[in-house]
Formats: sequence, C-alpha cells, structure tokens
Amino acid sequence: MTAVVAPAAAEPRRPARRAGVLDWLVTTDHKHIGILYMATTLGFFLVAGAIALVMRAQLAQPGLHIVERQAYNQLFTLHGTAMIFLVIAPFALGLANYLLPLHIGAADLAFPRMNALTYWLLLAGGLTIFSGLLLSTGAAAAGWTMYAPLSDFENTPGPGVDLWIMGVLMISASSIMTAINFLTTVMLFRAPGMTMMRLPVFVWNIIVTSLIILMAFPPLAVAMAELFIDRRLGGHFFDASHGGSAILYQHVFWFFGHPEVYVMILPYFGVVTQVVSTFSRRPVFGYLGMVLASFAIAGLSMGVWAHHMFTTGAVNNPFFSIMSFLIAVPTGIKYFNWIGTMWQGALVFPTAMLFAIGFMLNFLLGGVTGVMVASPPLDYHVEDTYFLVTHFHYTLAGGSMFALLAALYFWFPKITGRLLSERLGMLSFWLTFVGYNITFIPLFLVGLLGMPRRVVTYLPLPGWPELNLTSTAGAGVLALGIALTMWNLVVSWSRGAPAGDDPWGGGTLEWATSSPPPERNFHALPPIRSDRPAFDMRMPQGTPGGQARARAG
Amino acid sequence: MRMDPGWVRRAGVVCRRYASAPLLAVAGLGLSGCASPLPGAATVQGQRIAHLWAVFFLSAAGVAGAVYGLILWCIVRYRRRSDGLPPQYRDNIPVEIMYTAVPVGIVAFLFALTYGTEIHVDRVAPRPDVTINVTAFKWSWLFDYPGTGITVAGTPDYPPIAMVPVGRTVRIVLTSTDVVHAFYIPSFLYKRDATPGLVQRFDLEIRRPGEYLGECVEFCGFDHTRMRFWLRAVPPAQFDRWIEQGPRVVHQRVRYTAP
Amino acid sequence: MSAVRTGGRMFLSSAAFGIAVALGYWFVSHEAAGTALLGLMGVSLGAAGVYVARHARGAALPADQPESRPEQLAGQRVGAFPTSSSYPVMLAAGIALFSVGLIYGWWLALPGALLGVAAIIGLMRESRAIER
Ligand code: HEM
Ligand SMILES: [Cu+2]
Ligand SMILES: [Cu+2]
Repeated sequence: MTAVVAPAAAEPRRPARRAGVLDWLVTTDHKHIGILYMATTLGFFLVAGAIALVMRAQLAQPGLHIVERQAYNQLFTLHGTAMIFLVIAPFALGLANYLLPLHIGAADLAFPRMNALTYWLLLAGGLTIFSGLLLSTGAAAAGWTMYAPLSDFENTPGPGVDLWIMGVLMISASSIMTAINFLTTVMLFRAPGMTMMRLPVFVWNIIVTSLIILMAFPPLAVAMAELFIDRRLGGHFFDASHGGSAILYQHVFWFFGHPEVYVMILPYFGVVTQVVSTFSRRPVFGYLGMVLASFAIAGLSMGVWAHHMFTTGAVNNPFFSIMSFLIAVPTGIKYFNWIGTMWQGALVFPTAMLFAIGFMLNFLLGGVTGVMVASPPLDYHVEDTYFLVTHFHYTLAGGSMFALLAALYFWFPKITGRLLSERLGMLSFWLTFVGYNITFIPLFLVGLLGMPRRVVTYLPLPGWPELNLTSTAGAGVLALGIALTMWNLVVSWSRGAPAGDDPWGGGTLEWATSSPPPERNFHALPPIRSDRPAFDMRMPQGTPGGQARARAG
Repeated sequence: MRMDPGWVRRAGVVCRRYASAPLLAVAGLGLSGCASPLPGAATVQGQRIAHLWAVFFLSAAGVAGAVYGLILWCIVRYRRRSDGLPPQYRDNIPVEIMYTAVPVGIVAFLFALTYGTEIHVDRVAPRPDVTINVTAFKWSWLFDYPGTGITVAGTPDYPPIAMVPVGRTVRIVLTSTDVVHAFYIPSFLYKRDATPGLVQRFDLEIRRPGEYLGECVEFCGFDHTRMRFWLRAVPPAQFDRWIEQGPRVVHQRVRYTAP
Repeated sequence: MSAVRTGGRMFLSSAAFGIAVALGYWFVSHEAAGTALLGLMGVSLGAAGVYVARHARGAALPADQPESRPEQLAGQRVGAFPTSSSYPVMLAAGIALFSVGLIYGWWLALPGALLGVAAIIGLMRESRAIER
C-alpha cells in the first residue's frame, strides 16, 4: 500500500524475508507472480508431457495396447490444450512478468493487483479444463481446436466441453489483462534514459506479443461464447441444418489460432536473442531490423488464418498462401540477426547457450516445413497428417520449448541467487536434443506416407510400425532429458552454488541488481545509454564512444 | 558440485569435448529426414503435386543447408579464445538489405509455382466421365453412383470398397451429414474436407489400377481412427461391366481385421 | 519522441493496417466472416489508438529523454505499487465459480457472482487508499 519513491542513493542491501503460503496467495509483487506463473506452467508442462508419453506408448505398435479410443481422444485434446494455453504461452507471459520491469528499470508492473488476478484466473482456467477428467463422461475430447459441430451438444453431450470452454474463457481474459498491463508499463514506467530504441529486444517482442493478444483473443472469446450458446442456450451459430455454418467456427477460431502461434514464439525469439548476444559478447546485430521484423510478423499474422482451412474448399487459397509465404521473410530476418550477432563474437557454450542453439537448429526445420504447408497443393497432401503434427512440434516443442529451457538456465540464477548445475544441464541438453529429433524425424516420414493425426492406432503398412517405434523410443530419451532439468531445478533451488549478481556477463538491467532482486528491484540504476546498460557499466571500452577512445589511446 | 554422481560428471566432460560432432550428425539427419518418401502419385493431379514437392524440398534443403552452415561456422570459428572484447558493430545495412531481398525473391518464386500447380489440381472438367457422390457420416462412407442405382455403403468394421475406372475423369461430389470429416487418399496426395452444409467438387484422374487406401483425416469423434475406405481402380471396361450389373446396395462382407 | 505517442501510433497504424487488409480481403474473396473480423479488429484498435494518442499530448517522461539519468528521479514519487492484496484471488475465485455455475446451475453461479462483486468493491476501496 505504498507509493514508491525512487531510491536516492545505494541503500544497504537487506535479505528478503522468506514468504509463507499466505504471502503467495495475496502477493502482488511481479517477481512473486512471475515465479508463480513459471512454477504453475512447469507443473502443467509435466502433466502434458506425461500425457504425450502415454500417447507415444500407445502408438509404439499397431493395436490397442495402452488406452482405449475415447481415452486417447481425451489425451490428445488435453495435451494440446495444456501445451498451448497452459504451458508455452503463459510461461512466456510469466517470464515477462518477472523480467519486464527489471529490463526497463521499473519497480513493478503498472497494475499489480490486476496482475495477480491474471495469474489466479490462469490457474482456475487450467484446473477447470482438467476437472473434466473427474466426470463420468470424461474431459473434452474434440481436439484443442474444438471444431463445431463435433463439439456441439448433439455430438458431444457431456459437460467436459463446457468446462473446456469456461476454462479457455478464463485464460483468454487473463491474457488480455496481461497484455494491457505490459503495454501500459512499457509506455509509462521505463527508467530515465530508457528510450524506446534502447529497449531490450525481449521487451520489444513482448510489446508485439501483447499487441497480438489484443487483436486475437477477443475473437477467441467470441468463438467460445458462440459455442456455449449453441450448446446450452439453443443457438445455431455453427449448425448447418438450421442456417448456421461450420466454416464460420473455423474462421473465428483460426483468426485467433494463427496469431496465437506467434504469441507462443515471439517471446522466445526474444529469449534467444538475449542469450545469444550475451554468450557471444556482441550487441544484437540489426536491432532496428529485428524490431521491424517483429511488427511485420504481427501484422501479417493477422491475415493468414485460413491457411488452416486450405482443404475446406471454401476459402481463397492463393490469398492466404501468399500472406503465409511472406511471414517467412521477417522470420528469416531473425535468423540472420542471430548469425550476425554471433559473427566475429567470442562464443561460450553454457547450457543456456546450447539450448538456444538447439532452438535455432530445430526451429529452422519447423520454418522450412512451414513454407511447404503454406503451399495449398502440398497442404492437400500433408494437412492433418503426422507431417503437420511434426511441423508444428518443430516450431513449438523443438522451438519454443527449447527456448523455454534456455530461459530457465539463463535466468534461474537471477531468480534464486543460485546456479543450476552445468554438468546436469549439459547432459540434459544432449538427451533432450537428440531424443527430440529421434522422436520427430520418423514422424515426418510416416506423415508423408499418409498417417493421419489424432488416431489411436494405425494399419501395419510398410514402414509404419518401425517409424512409430523409433519415435516412441526417442520420446523416452527426450523424457529423460527433461527429467534431468527438472531434477536440476529442484536440487539447485536450495543447494546450488551461489550465483552472484551477474554470473554470465549479461547486458540488460536485471544483471545490474542483486540476485534475487530486492523488493523494488533496484537499489540504484546505472545510466542507460544503450540496450545493454549493464554491459556498458562493466565494459565502458565496449560502448561506441569508449571504443573510439580505446583505439585513439 | 557434489550432488552429481560420477557418471554424470564424466558424461558432461565427454559431451563438451565432442560438442559439435553430434550437432552436425543430427543436423544431417534432420535434412535427410524429409527426403521425400512420397507415396507414388497415382493420379494426374497428384503427379503435379509431387513435382511441386520436389522443388519445395530442394529449396528447403538449400536454404536450411545454408543457414545450418552459417550457424555451425559461427560455433566452430568464433569460439571464445581470449579475453579480448570482440568487435561491437551493430549494423551492416547492405547485408541487411540483402538478407531481406533474397528471401522475398525465393518466396515469390515458390508462390508462382504454387499458383500454377493449384490451378491445375483444382480444375474441374466441364463434363466428367464418371460422377460419384460421396457422403461422410459418423463413422464411415457412402458412395453413390448417380443414374445407376448403385450405392456402396460401409461401417467402421466393414469399410466400403468403391470402384473407380482408370484413365477417366472421376468427379467426386463430397459432403457430410453430421460433423466435419475429410476424404484423403495418401496415394493420390490429395484430400478435401467433407463439411456439413457444403458440397465440394473435385476431379481425380487415376493412372494405374490398384487398391488405394482412403482415410478420414479430420477428427470426427469416437471411431475416427477406423473411418477408412478403399478405392479399387480398374480398367474402364471392367468398371463398365461392374456398373451394368444393375442397381444394388453393395455392402462389404469381408471384415477388415486390422485395428 | 515520447513513448506514449509511439504507443498511440502503434495502435493507429495497426488499425489502419487492419482496415486496409479487410478491404483488400473483401475485394479478393467476398467472404463476410473474415472481413468482419478484420474490420472490427481495425476499429477497436483505432479506438485504443485514439485514447492513447489523446493522452499522449503533454506526456513528457524522463524515460524519453536520451540524456536523462536515473538520479534525476531521486526522491520523487514514481507510482503506487501495492505489494499485497487479498482481492485478486477472491475475484478470480468468484469468476471461476460463476463461469462453472453457468454450466451447473444458479446455486453455483450466484455465490460466485456475489464473491466477485464483493472482491470488486474491495478492490475499489483499496484503490482509494492507495491513491492517498
Ligand atoms: C516434447 C515432447 C512432446 C511429445 C513427445 C509430443 C507428442 C505428441 C503427440 C503424440 C501428439 C498426438 C498427435 C495425434 O494423435 O494427432 C501431440 C499432439 C499435439 N502436441 Fe505434442 N508433444 C510434445 C510436446 C509438445 C509441445 C511442447 C507442444 C507445445 C505447444 C505440443 C503441442 C501439441 C499440440 C497442439 C497437439 C495437437 C493436439 C490436437 O490434435 O488437438 N506438444 N503431441
Ligand atoms: Cu497458422
Ligand atoms: Cu474422422
């Protein structure tokens, strides 16, 4: 309940008090909320990952061995829903919750209490979706896309779908509020000298992500409301037998659904940019181009939704095809920015950097296969096969998930004041990276052979059982890698080596405060003259003026 | 750190020593991974798609190869060797313009090819040789041959086997009675959604006789997995004889025993 | 240039972009759903843009002056950030009960609504205390 006064000078450092359970319930401190977000989303990640393992086990060989048909349908729906709505996107928002004020030298987010509300709504939404498992009719089982009319009352009467709708509504309200909070904070609460063109790239990407959320989530809320009205209140929005349209649902859903994939990737682009720049000891190459590319992605992403509907025969395929192709250009620019950042740098490879490089290698396959599925004739073959499943896993799992792990290794020392074990980290990286590719490369192939997605089993056609078995084996290796990182987190939380304020030689402002940061984030701020104020402070010879002076001297 | 057991430490050392070798290996695997095991395209339309696929695959391999090369070059060449500060430049405008313009060119090229192919694949003949009305329902298919009185009906346990002639233009008129399904024949590299309330038309010209597996690929509920069918493509004369056997409802009698 | 103005421009140019794409899309597709979605997106972004742009006038923040230093703010009030409040979790619980109540019946929705309203009142009173 305190008006915050900027610190007059370096104050003596006080160790933070340990928080009890009740403190976590009522906290509105962005760092605590960020930790809650990240811990909760990691919890959902473990659940969704365990579900993925069960699915892979079921698919290891043809036949029904592990789960029955309807159980499998619930499993892939929960896995997809959780990974998208409860893991990859909200982890990024939680990370930004923690980092954004630190990055811009602010004491907190603009609306701390609204911020707390977004977290509790997210948690409530997630639990609501999963609570369907307790019903005798089971949780929603119509895929994370919840296509009408399959999801209407006639075809899916159980309340699992209703719970799913309400959960997603809560999550979308939460995301919209978070976006407003982020935008307001960046506009109004930057530290003196932190002009817009000195914002770290991560912050720019959060700005663009927030903008996308504001454009995309209201239509999602509309789709969910219409679905609910159809199911419970006698509406016919999507019911063709009463003048409604099944295609309408797809339009409204994908108007949200495609931009959502950029909500799930742009923050992670920011993470990778920051990590690569730090461990190359180079400034971000092509800063302005990178920012403009993010805006270009945001704009174009609003005009490509129906590339998910190429095979309906009811949309203008060439329009959506060219728009989708064009997105490849700003995405490609990011790659050249990263390469330009590493170019002539002095690279070191701690675990965070390895995961960032793993991101680049994996996401590239997601990108080039993305160009393939953006071509309608090719999509006629691969849409809704395992090729498509594998394409988006290369962007979201091979991409975002790897960047998520990079972020954990990079910022864990700041958040806890302790280092993660690098040895465990390296081992975890190699298991995850190799396991990931063994899991998914066979799925590209089996997809090209025509194996559909969302099937509980498959025919023993030539090659199919072998490829699926390889994939399942890979998933085991991958799971081991992830488990090692989780173990690392748990053990290092209390027993890791002390990290110090700046273990990596970081550039952004959070490395100029203590680990963990004090209650209002900063005891004193360094002068801000670039997007790397902490680096400038430590290495004045690295700043533009400094370098000239060094050469002259 | 003491908490690591010894094997973890040793593995960590090995990992670091051979850091870039597996990286290269996996990148190579990733590339060869997509090497196109497309099922042989059994229709004229599918052949065009296969050609387009080949161009896309080579372009993708080229782009990915170049970018992987640059990344690996950085990893190998720009390892930190001393404590000196590397150059701190931030921009190189000509390079930035180039890496924006070249992708635009590539993308324009690919779109032009896409457009040309799509026009051919989507073209419907003014007067097809054979028309088949296909209706998807939960969870099987109904093939109706208008004007002949012949209907082929299936169930999840007994998927339908529909006759089609080789070398003639077959018009499929597709719809659904309940939820969204999709009509997909991997060997034709082609699918189309069956949406309730919409009627879709497309043409297939089959090049060789054979039995082609068809699948529903839009998730449609409980028995989606078993919503399969077969197209039996036969020479035109044999097809005509089959039609001439007169009006009837053909049910599949052989239970397909696979899962 | 002030960041608030940048923010306003960001919204307004996104709005213009949305409307331009809506027009182009209608022209090439004659498809109503997408046109409406794009158009409404443009209009609502425009509304946000106008709001921000109006407040941008006269907003000169030290953050936007390239040569300003953090010490300039020393001792000044930079904002009000409460560190704890019990109302957000209460409001979230209210919203959750209310939404699930829409499925199962008023006996769940009503308590949820009451809890939510109580939390909102609490939040507003708390705000007045913070402003002071
Ligand atoms: C890393 C280990 C992962 C494995 C082994 C895995 C495996 C799978 C499997 C087996 C399916 C079912 C495909 C089907 O039946 O059609 C699936 C679907 C899906 N996965 Fe994953 N997945 C992983 C990670 C992720 C991540 C990180 C995301 C992030 C967003 C994700 C998002 C999805 C989505 C959206 C679906 C589609 C669900 C649907 O069809 O409704 N997965 N995954
Ligand atoms: Cu998309
Ligand atoms: Cu189906």
